Amino acid sequence: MLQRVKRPELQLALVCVAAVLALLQMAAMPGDPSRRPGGRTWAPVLTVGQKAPDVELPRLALEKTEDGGVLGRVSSEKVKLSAVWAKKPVCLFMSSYT
Amino acid sequence: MQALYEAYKDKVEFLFVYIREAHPVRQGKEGGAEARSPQDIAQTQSLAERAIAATDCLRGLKVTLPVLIDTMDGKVEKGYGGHPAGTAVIDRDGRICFTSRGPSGVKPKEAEKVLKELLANKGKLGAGVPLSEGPAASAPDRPTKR
Repeated sequence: MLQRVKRPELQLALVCVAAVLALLQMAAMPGDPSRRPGGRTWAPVLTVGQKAPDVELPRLALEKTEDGGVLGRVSSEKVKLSAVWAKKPVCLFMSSYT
Repeated sequence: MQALYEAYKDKVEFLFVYIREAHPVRQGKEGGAEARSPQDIAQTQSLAERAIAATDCLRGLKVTLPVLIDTMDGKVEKGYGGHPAGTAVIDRDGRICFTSRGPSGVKPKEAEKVLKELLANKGKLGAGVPLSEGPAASAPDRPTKR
């Protein structure tokens, strides 16, 4: 559509209107941080007070290589979460690089 | 995340669970001529591949947290709702004290508030919160419309 509009001032005006409309939509949303534009939300799987799932996972073992780099591999050592939280509170961050 | 870890690592066990890629590139595009950044990672097909991706992640984000690798069937990702990213704080009784989930699900500031309360209460959630067993009704993997 913008390609058909020849005048640059009109193009800029259309972009500004679209930006203002998007901001108004975001401002109209409640303060729930998990709420996403477009009226979508990421429902929590667990709630406060609930028993945390006990899982056993392998550690990432890091080894230095001869050229000074770091090589990661799956360790044979496994960690059972219940054994960890029995000693200290646990803070889990779950993510990937992408 | 790294700052929180440095501040509380003696009192709290921090674990970074590396889950499946949230935004993988198509198989064969990673690391090749078409790769535009180190984050161009294809979906990991094995724990060994996930370990390599996790290592790149640690290096790229400059974090030194202990890392666990989620199972290929995503026990943590599904059990805790960690996809595409998430945070969970668990007390010494194994109770959930805080969770967040979503594209910006890693929330160290919010986690720190909860950790402070926990540490002031011997690592346990305050009295009056009933312990409920098992996971809640399974939440969808994708965001739902309201």
